[in-house]
Amino acid sequence: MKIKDGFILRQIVDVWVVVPLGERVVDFNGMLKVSDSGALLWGKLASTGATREELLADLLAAYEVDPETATRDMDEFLTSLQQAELLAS
Amino acid sequence: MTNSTQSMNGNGDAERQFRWFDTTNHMLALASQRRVPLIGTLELTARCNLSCQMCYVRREGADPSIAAHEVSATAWVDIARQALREGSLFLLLSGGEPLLRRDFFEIYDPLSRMGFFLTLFTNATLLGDREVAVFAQRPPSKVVVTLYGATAETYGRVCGDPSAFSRAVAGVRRLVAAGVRTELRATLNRDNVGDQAALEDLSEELVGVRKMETSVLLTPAVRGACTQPRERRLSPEELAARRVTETACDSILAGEAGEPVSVRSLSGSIAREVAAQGGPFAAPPPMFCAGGRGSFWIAWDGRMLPCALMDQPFTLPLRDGFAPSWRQLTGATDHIPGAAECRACAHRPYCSVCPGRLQAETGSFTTTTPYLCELAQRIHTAADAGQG
Repeated sequence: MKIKDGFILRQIVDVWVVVPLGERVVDFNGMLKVSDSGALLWGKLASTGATREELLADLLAAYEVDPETATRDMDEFLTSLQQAELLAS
Repeated sequence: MTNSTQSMNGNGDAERQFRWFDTTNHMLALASQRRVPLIGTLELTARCNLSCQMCYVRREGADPSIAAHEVSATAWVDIARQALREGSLFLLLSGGEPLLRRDFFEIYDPLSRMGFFLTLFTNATLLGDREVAVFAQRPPSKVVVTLYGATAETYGRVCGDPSAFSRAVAGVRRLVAAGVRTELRATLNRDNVGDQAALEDLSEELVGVRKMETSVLLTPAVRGACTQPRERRLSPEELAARRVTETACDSILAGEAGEPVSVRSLSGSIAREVAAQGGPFAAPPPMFCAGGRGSFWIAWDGRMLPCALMDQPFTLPLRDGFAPSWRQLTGATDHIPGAAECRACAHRPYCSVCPGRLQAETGSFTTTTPYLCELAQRIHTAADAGQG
């Protein structure tokens, strides 16, 4: 899985926001507010891309959270990305 | 197309839909507290192809001496890049008429790819097929078009050019047809106040929204503008009849709930609202907006100012760099005094006074102006009468 090109993740005054760049504004004219863990996942998905297993491993390494909770949260995040059509096909 | 601000959580919180206003409000509060230049305006030029006498900043469009003193496209792009590094997120491109610059797209193109939410202010008269084609391909978050009347005749009175009306309408139609998010505003004065209802009709026809942000409390000319706003603006009596109380930086928040509000609107109203709610940002008096704390204005000549209405304090980002200039500006803003006369004034809650407006009116932060005092007194009286 990989995020579509044309977005930048920025942290400003402790808030993570995703900003569409240039041509991307045509199909996404808005601002995404992302949590710390969401930013971690976004960063991975935007740079190299990742599988569900790799994302889960990153979450478990970064947070003291049980695998079930991490999986549920990750899936929720990925669903959000899919619904917003932000994942490259 | 996704319009609303979304929140994505990977930590167990249910997904929530944030309205843009809520998010930016929160961010501006934090930015102002921490002196992060979240919101900025690049006043690309003071020149304009129209000749509105109520404009606070206009210089002659054909004046080569003014163009020679404008910041170059390369320098604007460099300043924007520095601002981005310091935390700027919302950037307004304003004028004068920004599209009057032949090198406008040399500025716009790189900025559109940097990571800002860009807003463009324009009179739309220079929006031809070529310009709109670029915006269709790489849109700003929003284009805000100010209309000066609902007929060619009114444009002739206000702007000195009846043909500008059809060009403005055509420009708006091109934007809308190209799918560029477009918002209309109006500036009312003696020469077009009779058009207000017709302007709302026109707005509904052009962009499907009847409600327009309308400025009526006009500021005197600043930074050497060649106009006569004092002569063209409505009197305190006329304004009081409309119950006008505006912040210095904006008039009325436009748009439906959940729609992005303009960068310009953010600089004043949000700060006020947060302060009223006892939020984290409550600027010490007399400054109650984010000017010089969470927002900046870089004038056409390269000076960085706390807001559009001020001529000082200023710093020089082209000479000293953006970050040092911003730090100097925030320090200077902290020392802007208030007018002693205003502190105990019974009309204060009904008054539109602020340091920027006072400086524009009187040249001083501490000298009051009969225009604003009479307006506040009249609105106070009208409010009391309404309650009685």
